[in-house]
Amino acid sequence: MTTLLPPSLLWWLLAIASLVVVGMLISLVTQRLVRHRRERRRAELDERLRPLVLEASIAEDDEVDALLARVRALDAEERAHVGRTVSLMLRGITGEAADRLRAVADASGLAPRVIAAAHHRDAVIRADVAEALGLLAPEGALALLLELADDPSSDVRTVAIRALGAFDEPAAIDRVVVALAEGSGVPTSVAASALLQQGGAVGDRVRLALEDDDPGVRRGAARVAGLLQASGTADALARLVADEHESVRLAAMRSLERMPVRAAVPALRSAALDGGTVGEAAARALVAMPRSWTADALADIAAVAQLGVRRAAGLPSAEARA
Amino acid sequence: MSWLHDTLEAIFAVIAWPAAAYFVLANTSMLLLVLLAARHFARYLRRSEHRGEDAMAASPLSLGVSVIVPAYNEAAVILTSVRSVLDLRYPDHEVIVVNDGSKDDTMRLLKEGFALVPDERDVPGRIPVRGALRGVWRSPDPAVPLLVVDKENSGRSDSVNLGLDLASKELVVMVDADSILEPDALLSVSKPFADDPERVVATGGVVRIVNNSRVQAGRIVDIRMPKELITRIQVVEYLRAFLLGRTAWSDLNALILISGAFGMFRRDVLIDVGGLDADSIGEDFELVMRIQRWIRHGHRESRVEFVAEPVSWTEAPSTLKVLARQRRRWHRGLWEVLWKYRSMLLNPRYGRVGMLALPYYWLFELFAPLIELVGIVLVVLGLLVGAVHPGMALLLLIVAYVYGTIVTLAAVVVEEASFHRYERWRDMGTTLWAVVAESLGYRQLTAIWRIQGWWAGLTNRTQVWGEMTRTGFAGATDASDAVMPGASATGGQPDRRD
Repeated sequence: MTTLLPPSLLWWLLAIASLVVVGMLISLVTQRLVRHRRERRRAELDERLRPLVLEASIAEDDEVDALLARVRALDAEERAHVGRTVSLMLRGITGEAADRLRAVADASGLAPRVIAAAHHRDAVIRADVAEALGLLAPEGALALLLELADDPSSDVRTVAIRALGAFDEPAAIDRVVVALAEGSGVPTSVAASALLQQGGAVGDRVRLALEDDDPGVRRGAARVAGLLQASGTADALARLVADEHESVRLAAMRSLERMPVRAAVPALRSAALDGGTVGEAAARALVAMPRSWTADALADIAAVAQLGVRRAAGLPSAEARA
Repeated sequence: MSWLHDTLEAIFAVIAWPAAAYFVLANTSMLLLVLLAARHFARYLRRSEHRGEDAMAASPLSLGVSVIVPAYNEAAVILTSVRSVLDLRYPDHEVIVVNDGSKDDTMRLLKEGFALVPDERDVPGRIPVRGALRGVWRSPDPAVPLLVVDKENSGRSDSVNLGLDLASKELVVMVDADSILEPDALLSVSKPFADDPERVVATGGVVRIVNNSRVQAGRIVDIRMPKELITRIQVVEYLRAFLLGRTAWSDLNALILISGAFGMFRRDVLIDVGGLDADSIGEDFELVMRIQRWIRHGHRESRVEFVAEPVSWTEAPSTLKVLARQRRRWHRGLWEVLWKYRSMLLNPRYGRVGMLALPYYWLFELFAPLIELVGIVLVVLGLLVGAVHPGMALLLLIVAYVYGTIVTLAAVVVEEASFHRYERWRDMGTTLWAVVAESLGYRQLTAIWRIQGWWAGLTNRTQVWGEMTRTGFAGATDASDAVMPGASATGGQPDRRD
């Protein structure tokens, strides 16, 4: 008769496995109890403190001091909750209301706590700090963010670059442009969005970036140039239509859809006739330009371009024309 | 019967240790995958506060997404479904509905519902399709980026390929008309592309089971555990195998399967590899395998990633008949794809896909039902002729059962610590009951169906898709909710459920 393992060993295994199961069940129940309790507590605090935060954000000037004094008088847990609430609200608010919220955060003692944690050994906390610095913009935030933009952790660098979008000082703009470079560890979309957020102040820097040696910088700048309608970038954008890197060519074409440049038409026509994804992008850029500039190019596309390019150009099919 | 007794004893003497080793290895590898996923979730959730999805949602720099919705006889759900996809939170997405020769009013409803006008532009023809094109329609309103393609019936894959041919954005996502998407689904699943646009070529999102949850205007407003035990068990299965298993494979850079119900791809890559294979039963699996081969053959540093955020909700089979058909088809698809790509197995050229993922799928997915059923038959015979000690067999069975339960329970614990989507205490109770019940008949039954599917694949029997009978969601509060899931999707297209 077959017995694979000694029964005593099986009993031991069973006992251990059963203990593990019981442990897991306890862990399940405990997790849920703790979470529910925490959520209940947060809901209680929210019910009491959110009206105060909202009131402070829309208060008249003469009411603000009294409201901030109420915030300062809260206990540590309540002030921490106010800080969290303000941080969340600041993500979707700008202007005067945002300034008021920053004052509330200041009264809750959030800014000193954030600054104190800027060199925490945990990268996740440093990333949280970078996010908060961008939202709260306390004194010294820019210097700290520039420091965090060189953090060893790419997560922290990414959040810091995103946060630098809230600052339009030259140092911030320069650092964001550097983050566009390939191998910076910061996603191009994050750095380019930050540049976009910095707004009109970046015009000159974008113009320089379009000529940069790094294709990542040229790509990011090309995308932003069209969205910002940055003056003085037209010629450079037209040149980038023939860039050696496909992603740069595509970015330049996307920008030209929003910012027509007559000098780019010959290169766009040529790219469109070459077909493929770049050809389709070129066709879309041509369609967005005044018809008086592009009539010949579109006629060539209608005659000889690939079907996909003709479709991108919005041209009717031969059957439809017939 | 002493010959049988002796034969069985001889068989047990040979296979007992390998069988035990197989069992331990199978469960331990799953446990390791669960633990790997737990580590991933811990990191992922800690970073969730600053992932930047809000910034992405507002950024005009986000990559464009074409959402392809193949539809066959979806008249009951199509308008709600298209509107909910159009309403997804994303800065730049278009919706392409491909009407796959529906026999009901799907096309008429779309034309009238969105006041469509003919789109007279060329169809690029970059991917060969079988179903004859009847016409392309578009919304005249530039604020409604909707394209509707009407074609002869030729199946889901062919319809997706036609949609892909007409897609104009950088990324393509295919969803089923009857799936319910989370409002941030596109943001979540496109995030890896935004973070690493050069290397990420495909991402998959988590598909969860919607049965019994409350749906309002195409959105889930109250998540509940399903009512039927077999559907509850599927919830647990989805958690363990799809959510945690795929997260771990993605972490190992060896993900070879993303769900057909929600997968996002770079359009240029999809066109490069030729779109979906219209002849494949496991077309989603086949596509990812083809992409993995394309990556390795081109010495590319590309990645296929899995996003653990829940993005899509789908109705799971609630009857044994439909479940059986689904599992037969899945296993047949598994066999056909594994066999098609057998040259990648244990081939170092394919890295972890060839050396880790494929051996796992062959050993612990394809062969598992066969080994399990052979084991059961031998043990029962052994007990009958006295070749196996009953007490020992029972003890061994209990140990094996408890170990299997630990693996599944670990998945439930990880879910509780991470996404905890089932918040009621009652749901926790039913989940635990499903964990216990999974090994008590359900797994053995699915093993039989899976072997049937495998056999059908080996004998090249024609695949019949059949119907995915839908039972509807609870608590629908308006007319559109009431009809949305309740229709029977009849014939023509397979129910894509994994």
